[in-house]
Amino acid sequence: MFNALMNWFDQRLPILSFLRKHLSCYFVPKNLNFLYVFGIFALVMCFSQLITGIWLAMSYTPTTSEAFESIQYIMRDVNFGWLIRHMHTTGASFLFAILYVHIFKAMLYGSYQKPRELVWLFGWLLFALFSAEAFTGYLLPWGQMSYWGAQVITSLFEVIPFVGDSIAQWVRGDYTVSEITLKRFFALHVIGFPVLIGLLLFLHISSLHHVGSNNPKGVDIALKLDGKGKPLDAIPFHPYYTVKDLFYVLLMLGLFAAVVLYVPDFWGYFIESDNALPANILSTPDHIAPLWYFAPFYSILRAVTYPLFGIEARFWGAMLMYLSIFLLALLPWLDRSPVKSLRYKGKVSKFMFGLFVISFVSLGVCGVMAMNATALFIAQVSSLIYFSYFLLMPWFTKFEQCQNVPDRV
Amino acid sequence: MKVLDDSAVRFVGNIFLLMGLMLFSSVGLASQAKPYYIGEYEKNTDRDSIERGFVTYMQFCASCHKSEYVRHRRISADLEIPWEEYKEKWLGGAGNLPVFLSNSWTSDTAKEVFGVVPPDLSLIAAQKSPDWLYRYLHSFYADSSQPLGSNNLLAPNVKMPNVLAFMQGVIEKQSCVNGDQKGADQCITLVKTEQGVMEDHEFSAAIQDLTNFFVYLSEPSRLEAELLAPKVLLFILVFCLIAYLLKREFWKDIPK
Ligand code: HEC
Ligand code: HEM
Repeated sequence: MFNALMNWFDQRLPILSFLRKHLSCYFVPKNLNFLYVFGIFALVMCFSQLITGIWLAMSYTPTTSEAFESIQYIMRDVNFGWLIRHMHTTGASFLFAILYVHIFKAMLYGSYQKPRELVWLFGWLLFALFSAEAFTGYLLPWGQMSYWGAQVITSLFEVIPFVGDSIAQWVRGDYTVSEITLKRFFALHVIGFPVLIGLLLFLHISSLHHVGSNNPKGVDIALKLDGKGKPLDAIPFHPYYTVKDLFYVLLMLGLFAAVVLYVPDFWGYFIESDNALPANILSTPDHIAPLWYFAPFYSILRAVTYPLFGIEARFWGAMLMYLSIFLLALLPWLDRSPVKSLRYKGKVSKFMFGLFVISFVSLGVCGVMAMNATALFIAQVSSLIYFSYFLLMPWFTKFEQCQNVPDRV
Repeated sequence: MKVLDDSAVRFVGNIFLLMGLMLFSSVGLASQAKPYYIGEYEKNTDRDSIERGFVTYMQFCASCHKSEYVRHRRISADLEIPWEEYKEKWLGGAGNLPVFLSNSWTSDTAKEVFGVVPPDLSLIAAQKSPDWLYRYLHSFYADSSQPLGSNNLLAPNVKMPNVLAFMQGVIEKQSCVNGDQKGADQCITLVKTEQGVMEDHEFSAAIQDLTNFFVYLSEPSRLEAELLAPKVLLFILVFCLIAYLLKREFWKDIPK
């Protein structure tokens, strides 16, 4: 009876064959390590953001007079509103932490290389979209930091010669950040960007499943097949990786629950104390800083202090910031190494990647600190390292001596 | 011990004498100006402490400050004060009961009287840190140059009167460097010159309670969250364990 029903469905909509193709008959290298669960973590957090976001939107009001109050209403009067809101704020920080590890893994094992360039590009677009999603979302509670953060970032457009003011006004819909800005950010945050993110998630995973996962050794498993055409070093995703992922996802959710329930503000890193004050257009906070996950890029922005060609330093800072994100997209073409995984790349690659990771972390640390001479200097040196990693990559990956890659995992 | 010779005994004796002298002289100094010691805020979510803080708030702060995001009903429920009793005690019984922790100041009249509108305190512990709040409430001192006769180390020229002075006693500002004007501005200590109705430790306990109340006020769900947390974590842990065993079972057939 059940089988008959399933067959009836499958003839009209091939759900079963779809599941087979992507789970029980989807072959994955058997040596995927802990870093490979971060993609699943990201998916789980996306889902959590979607659900909590929907519930927040039920009680939130996007007007300047009521936005702040409606958040307090959610926190104090809506049943479990505090839980939903803290899951959403903590979720955003978790998602970015997860994405940074996910990107780190892809860079470590050269997963962006042929044939996964599209997987990488769609991933990169997802990162850009999530940044936009987080930026627009942060304005919504209409606290001091929401307001002034948005004011600082949107006013970056003003420094573009000739057309800057018009562009900034076009983004904000007003001369300064105002209710018009709040409403359009709300629309983008709850509908515009999520729809695009959904589309890109589909593309990211489809393109991955078309070519299959890379692995920590960067060995191409499709080269060694058994008699039936199944890769020798692969195992089906289901049940092996479903049970493995399930375990790690629960572990991650445990950590998530602990943060949500015990330290939702994460000592000021996930929810800033200035945001407990309603936006005040007349009083600029002493120290305007973005949340930690934008700190590395914000540091690059602040590291530029020299005006050039008669244009403000801020403009060049902004340009470098965008460039720093854009260069990531070019990685598949900057890396000319014959091997994928860093394990088998040469000494220069290993050294440069180490430096790159250190510079990125120091940029992050400088970005959350108030500006001072030491922080500025460290940020400048780190920016230099960040850019040289990408710009020198075509040379050091081409000329260095690599190790031999084994032919089995 | 018997083998200790005379010189050693004298040496030890001299040290004691020296220490005694030092102690004596410091007591002598202190009787002129005993530095006012402010302890550390210790976070706790003890309901009784929060309730004592609430009483202090209603008696000494609520007349000027509003906490308009907070409902009376919520406080009565969280602090387990029966609503009838709460109503009698704090809201004057029957009639048109206020819903939120508000008062009758309008911003215009408040501005006229104080020069500023006293800030809403619903979120004060989240805006400032609890430690800041704890120190702020200890750091008022007498200052005749101020219109209200008092000032605050943490909020210079604050326009709030020192409403708890009668409990704390008279606190004055003293420079810890003599003479040199420049250093004197940098280094300031508070000294207590007159006893209030409370001993120092009693006053600190009262401020501790008040701060606990403000911490509660800025996130009332904290109490609920910390009750829920162990249950949720245990639940996830159990599932985690099952998932781990499941994983180990399946992965047994995969050769390394
Ligand atoms: C007589 C009215 C009055 C009373 C009573 C009063 N305050 Fe204030 N309070 C003020 C005013 C006015 C300000 C604004 C001061 C300023 O901005 O200069 C203020 C400011 C504050 C601030 C913010 C200080 C800052 O620098 O941000 C805190 C915290 C505060 N009060 C706590 C309390 C507490 C706790 C009580 C009860 C023990 C209390 N107040 C009682 C009038 C009062
Ligand atoms: C919300 C955002 C994202 C989600 C939900 C997501 C999800 C996933 C999933 C489920 C996988 C397969 C499992 C794994 O290999 O970890 C994967 C693989 C991958 N992702 Fe993402 N991803 C996201 C963002 C990104 C970003 C920002 C990048 C890089 C800029 C990226 C690059 C990659 C690459 C290169 C792979 C292949 C890894 C390999 O085979 O070694 N992804 N992604």
